[in-house]
Amino acid sequence: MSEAVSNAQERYDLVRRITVTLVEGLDLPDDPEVIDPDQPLFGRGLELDSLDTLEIVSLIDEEYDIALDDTPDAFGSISKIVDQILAKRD
Amino acid sequence: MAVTRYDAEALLRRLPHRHPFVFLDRVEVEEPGRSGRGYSLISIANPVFAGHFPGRPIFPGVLLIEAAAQSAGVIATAADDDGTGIALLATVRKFAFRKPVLPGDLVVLTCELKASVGGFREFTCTVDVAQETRAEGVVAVAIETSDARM
Repeated sequence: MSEAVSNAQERYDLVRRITVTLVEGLDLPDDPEVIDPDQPLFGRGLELDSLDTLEIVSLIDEEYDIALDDTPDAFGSISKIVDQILAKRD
Repeated sequence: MAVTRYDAEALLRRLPHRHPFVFLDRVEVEEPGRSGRGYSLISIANPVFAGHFPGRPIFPGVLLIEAAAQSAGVIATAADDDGTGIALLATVRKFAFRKPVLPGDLVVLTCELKASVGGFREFTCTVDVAQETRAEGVVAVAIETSDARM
């Protein structure tokens, strides 16, 4: 398997795991299978609010021992959270 | 590390709460904004024991959560340079009550920052009596600045 394919598979697996973590941790009514990783987390997307951001930081810290950045853009979508995790792992 | 001690009088300058809803007698801040301990002396004179429970006084768990939130609030706002910010309870998670807290107990509430986003601070809190854990959980407080209150 090439490195590019391996990286893509790692990212795909992480997106799925993070989605399940957020759905379970935030007690969301959504099916993880139907959540688009680029769907906005706030507003008309998954309709999360600022308190949920705090929970997301806690959940990621508990499961991955990674402190997410506290910037407005950092929690825009599951893809952006995964970007941060992958960057901080390197 | 120097510990900043807030006695009962100093606490009233940090907390928006007043009698009978101040559940702390002292707070020691180890690292402003991050860690410290609240102390609460549980007296049989507290009127809550008249109803919780008649003939079997047990300090209510929900008030232990409030005491933990007040401790976390003082610790969180201790990092506030101008000292005008106040903290209000925002969320409670995973609080478990292992053993009852009784009149005569000295409750030690140890709080450590777990997460910080915007104006919210989340703390893990352990409620101990005589070095035995009676309750533990996570509380988040919202920091409100004087500007926001105007």
